[in-house]
Amino acid sequence: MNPHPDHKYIEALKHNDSVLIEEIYSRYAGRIRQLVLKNSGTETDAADLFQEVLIELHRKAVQQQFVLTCPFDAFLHLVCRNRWINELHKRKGRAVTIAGDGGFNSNADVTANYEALHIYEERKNLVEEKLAELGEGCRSLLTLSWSGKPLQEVAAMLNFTYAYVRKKKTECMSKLISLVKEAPGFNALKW
Amino acid sequence: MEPEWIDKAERYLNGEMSAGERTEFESELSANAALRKDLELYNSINKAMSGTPNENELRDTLQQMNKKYFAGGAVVKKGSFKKWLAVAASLVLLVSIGFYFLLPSKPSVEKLYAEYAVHEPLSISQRENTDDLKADLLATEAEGFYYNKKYKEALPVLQQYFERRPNDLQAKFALGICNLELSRYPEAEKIFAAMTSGQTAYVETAKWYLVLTALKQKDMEKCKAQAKNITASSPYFTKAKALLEKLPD
Repeated sequence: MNPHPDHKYIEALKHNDSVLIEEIYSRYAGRIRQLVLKNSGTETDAADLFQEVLIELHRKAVQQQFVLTCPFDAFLHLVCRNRWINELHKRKGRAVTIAGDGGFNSNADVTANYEALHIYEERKNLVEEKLAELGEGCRSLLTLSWSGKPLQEVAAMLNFTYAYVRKKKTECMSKLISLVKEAPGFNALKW
Repeated sequence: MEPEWIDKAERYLNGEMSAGERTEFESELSANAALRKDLELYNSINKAMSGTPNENELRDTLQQMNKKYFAGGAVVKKGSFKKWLAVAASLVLLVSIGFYFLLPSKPSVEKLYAEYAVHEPLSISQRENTDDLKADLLATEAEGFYYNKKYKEALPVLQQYFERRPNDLQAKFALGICNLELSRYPEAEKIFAAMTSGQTAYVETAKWYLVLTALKQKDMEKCKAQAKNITASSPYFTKAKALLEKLPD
């Protein structure tokens, strides 16, 4: 499918183009703020939500070559809205509905774009959930190895040999992958 | 997915395989759809959990924008949990190795012990072709406890392991360390003392651990006497010398 002209925003997030990123803020931050403020959130919640969604889009663009095929405003609104609903759900411990999110044309295109992003988020949530079930040693080791540090450096930090850290890491990954594969939601994520 | 397979997958994805190994791995992959799926899953988990190379720069840009476009936007939590974890890990490290240097006076014996008693990780599993599966399982279990400093749990598992492989000196030494950490000094001393003789790789390390055992018991006289057994040819000579200088009078 052809990219929508608004795909330029995804490219901007991919390459940290501050001029276009400022355009994203000046055009869309206001509406997202309204959405959060009207639904039990604070100004800080709104800023946090906006930032994390943009980071998520950046990752998706870099790692999965995500192509936007619908207008950015409706897409961004849907992503932020659903993420905020999840956050409220976590905070309140029950399902929530939210107010004041009309006025966007959530057509099939927007939904399809959202689904592509959403499955990626869901996968990540599952991995994070299973990571929490591992022992502390595995958790720190894997998290450090994902932080972008070379494994040699991680080994030095933890005062272990490289060979040991490498061996442990594969063992921890093996455990993590088994947990992920055994999870009830695994098949729905089409991995 | 077995750890051995993951190691292969990682070396494959990192381009660390030899040409021959690569061809073999690829033909394995092409013959087996389940393996291909596993490789994809492995790769995808790593991707999902890793940041991108320029993510931190983007975060900086977004921070600036947040300040401008959201009231109070400057106080947004920065970075993902990963970044915090890395920070936390380095803090732990700084605290554990650097704390001593921040103190103006001579450190307490407890702190000296914490500074000097840094144990090598235990790696006794799968070193031989599995002649004894039970022993390997015990080894893996013991390594896990030991890694997490759960010496109380590690000790009985190691003992069982050692009964099955009584020639494993690393396991024997680790038994000494478990006893030391659990303040079972006579048991620890017995093991270390026995290992100071003979032609093994543990002679000098055992001498050093006798120093640490005395230190942990706060027996300064014994500690100094044991430290004198560490000669200039020992890899622990510098450490022992430094420790002697820091000992309380």
